[in-house]
Amino acid sequence: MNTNVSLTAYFIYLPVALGLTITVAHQLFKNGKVFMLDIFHQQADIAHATNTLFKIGFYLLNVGFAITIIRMSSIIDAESMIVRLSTKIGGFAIYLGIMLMLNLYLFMRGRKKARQHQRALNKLFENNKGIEFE
Amino acid sequence: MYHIPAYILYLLLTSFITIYVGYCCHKNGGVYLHYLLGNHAPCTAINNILLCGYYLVNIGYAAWSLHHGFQISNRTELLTTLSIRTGTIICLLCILHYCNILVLYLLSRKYIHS
Repeated sequence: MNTNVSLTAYFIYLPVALGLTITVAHQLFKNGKVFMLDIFHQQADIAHATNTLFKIGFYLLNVGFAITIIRMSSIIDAESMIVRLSTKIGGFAIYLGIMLMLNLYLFMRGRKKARQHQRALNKLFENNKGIEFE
Repeated sequence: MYHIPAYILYLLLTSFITIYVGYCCHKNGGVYLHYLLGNHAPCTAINNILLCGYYLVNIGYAAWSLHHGFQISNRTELLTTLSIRTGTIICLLCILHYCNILVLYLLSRKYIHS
């Protein structure tokens, strides 16, 4: 009885955690492409490649974390299973939310830097309009 | 009775994940490397050497980490042990991946400034 209940808990936890990770990553990087295009000045191939690299990192980090924290102790009946399971999934969801915000912050920061760079370049060229470069 | 299937499953899972992630990173990393280091650097060679080293480190570590063996007595323990071990490997992969991106980025800055 005991083993069966905890096995059920694991079999509920794994698909939920992995599904959550995949959904979040999909949403994040579908919308992250716009930021990446801004950061790399509309060069589509490098933007796509960097986006994919970050996506791989995000998947690795979150899937790895999700299955490392799988151990749930003292599950004896259905009630304790529900309590443990919801604590675990809730905690993981909060962690995922923090990761999402962190990634979004990185995107925003990269975009800001790229825009500053672009503005500085524009200013430089405006000032030197009459001067010939060697 | 659970040990042999656990070892086989563990090795298969970790090698599959390592090879798949390596393939994806190799494909996308080539473009990234080309962008960071420019046309003059031997990008393809660096990329291939990185991939080779990555396979050696990860598959080697996955195999080496079996040296204590698993303590498994029932199906639940099989699942948890397998998950935790594979999760550790994936976290390690992730740390390596981010370090790699960071090092390439720093290298490119040095390369451009010099």
